[in-house]
Amino acid sequence: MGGTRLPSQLLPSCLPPPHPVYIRHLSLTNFRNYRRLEVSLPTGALILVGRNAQGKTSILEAIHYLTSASSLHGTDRQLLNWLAVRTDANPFMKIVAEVVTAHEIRKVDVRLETSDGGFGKERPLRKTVLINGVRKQVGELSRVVNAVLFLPQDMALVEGAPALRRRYLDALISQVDPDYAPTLLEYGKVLTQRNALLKQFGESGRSDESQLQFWDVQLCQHGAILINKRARALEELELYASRLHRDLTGGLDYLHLAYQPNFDPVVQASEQLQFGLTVPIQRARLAEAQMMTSMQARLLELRAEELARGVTVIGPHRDELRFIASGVDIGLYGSRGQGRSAVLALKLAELQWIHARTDEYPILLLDEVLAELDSQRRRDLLERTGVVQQSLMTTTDLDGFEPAFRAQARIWQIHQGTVEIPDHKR
Amino acid sequence: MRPNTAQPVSTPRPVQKAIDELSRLPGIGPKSASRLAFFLLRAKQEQVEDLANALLEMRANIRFCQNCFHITTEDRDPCTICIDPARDAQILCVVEDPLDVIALEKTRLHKGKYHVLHGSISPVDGIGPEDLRIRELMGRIQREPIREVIVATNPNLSGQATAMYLHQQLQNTGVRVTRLAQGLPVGGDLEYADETTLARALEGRREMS
Repeated sequence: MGGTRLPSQLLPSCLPPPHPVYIRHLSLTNFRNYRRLEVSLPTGALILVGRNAQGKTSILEAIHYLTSASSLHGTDRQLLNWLAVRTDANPFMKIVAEVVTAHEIRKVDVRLETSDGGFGKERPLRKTVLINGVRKQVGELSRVVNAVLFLPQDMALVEGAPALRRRYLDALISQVDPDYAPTLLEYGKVLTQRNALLKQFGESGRSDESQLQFWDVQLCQHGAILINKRARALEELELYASRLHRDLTGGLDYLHLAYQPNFDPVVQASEQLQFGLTVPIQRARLAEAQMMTSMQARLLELRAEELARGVTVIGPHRDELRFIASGVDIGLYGSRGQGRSAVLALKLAELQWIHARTDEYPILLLDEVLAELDSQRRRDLLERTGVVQQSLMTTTDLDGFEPAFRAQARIWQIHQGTVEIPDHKR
Repeated sequence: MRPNTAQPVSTPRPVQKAIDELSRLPGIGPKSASRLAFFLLRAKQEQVEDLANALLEMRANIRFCQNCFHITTEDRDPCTICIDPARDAQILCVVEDPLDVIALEKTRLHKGKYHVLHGSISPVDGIGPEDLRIRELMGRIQREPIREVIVATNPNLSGQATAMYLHQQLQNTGVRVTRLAQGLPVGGDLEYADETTLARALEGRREMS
């Protein structure tokens, strides 16, 4: 493990990767539009073809849910089959997968059950994670199986809102670092409490340092950990992404992924300055203790402003992730095409990065992405997906794939929540 | 098919009122509330009266001790713990709720007295130090021969915030301030403990004796 491993995406796809991880069998119960689905999944590329709203994406979503137990829809309730919600007394959903790893086959079982408390449709859902039949914490899922999910809306990552990029980064790091999500959760709780206190003090016009101090320390403690982990992840990702980006754009631009905290973690409190794009990201990679101290000092300086505005103005919840090519922020000044190349490089870099961190290639999930790409980028993408042990792609139109790619992939038809698997091999 | 012109029958008002009142209780949703209401509707008259009287009597006779704010009866204020001469008046255990006193009393290990804060600091819920019995606690520290304060607030965020605040307030009073140990639950498994708990347990390890 380590950040210095070189990208190995140029390995010919016929060579098996060192540590195979793939899902051998997938079973869905009451998940999205599937009442019940039992399928054995092949290794290599699998193309799911069908018209819209037939259940192609649900299969990708189910696999993605197995890696994090967090829904793309924001709420877990939407994962329950609507028919089950309407007719069953205690609607539940279940995803079970047999995951083949280097040394063993592991059974991963994630369930959402309607608990008895409360009433009606708003009864709370209980989430259970079982690995080989033993109850585990949600964070354990990422230790079993990882996936890189590429959605059409990811194309907007570079030029979209900063919150989008933060969420992307949070989800990505949570996959390889089981400590990340709990820290993020705790940070969120502290932030809410601290904002409430600032607002209260700001409105009443009288502040109490002895009360703010606790929340300052908590905020900076968790905040420093998050900033550190994010900066480190980006530094490592850049290693792969910049190389891939050079390949994709024909060596024109060097892609730089910059984590930009909104306070300077190095400079002592008195010398605080707003710093520009060219600040090397290594500066963010400091000992957590030092970062915590500078953040705390900065908070003290900002006290009056924060009280006036009633919100916490610095911290990882306000930080930025920027994509910079040839010294220019692509999100602000880049073309649409530049943005797409950057996202493509980043997504492919994820594969390499997860591999470097976990020693295993993630499962690749491509949802209708090819339709968003021109033929050159399409070829670039498909060429480089050969390294993964298993990839699932959805499409409405098979013609998006080159005949050569189609010939070596499995093709399944999805129609109204049923999967038609052709019985001939290849 | 003829349209259905029958009027839907709603729950009679007195029943609905009972259901509404019951569903205001913690942990009781509308469904449980209706189950309870209909149970009481079928129950014997005496049973319902006993329940109603028990509630009224509780309200009439139980109050918070003027000294420690634990629950006590009207005729025993200060409470039995506060006036017990066998209790060590030098050690004071600060808790969030009366239920915490009862839990600690079951251990029979705390020989000192108590002080109930009635809550914990939570800015989101609008609860600050002035909403807790902290001023009264400071008064007791001046009045009583207290030498040690055991902070026994919950080990969650708002309990910790309360503990930190108390620590700051008590700093210059010359009183020793201690915090309940945090770590592994008895009868638990190491492998199932989360990292934070394990880290706390490691930090708080002790010499074996």
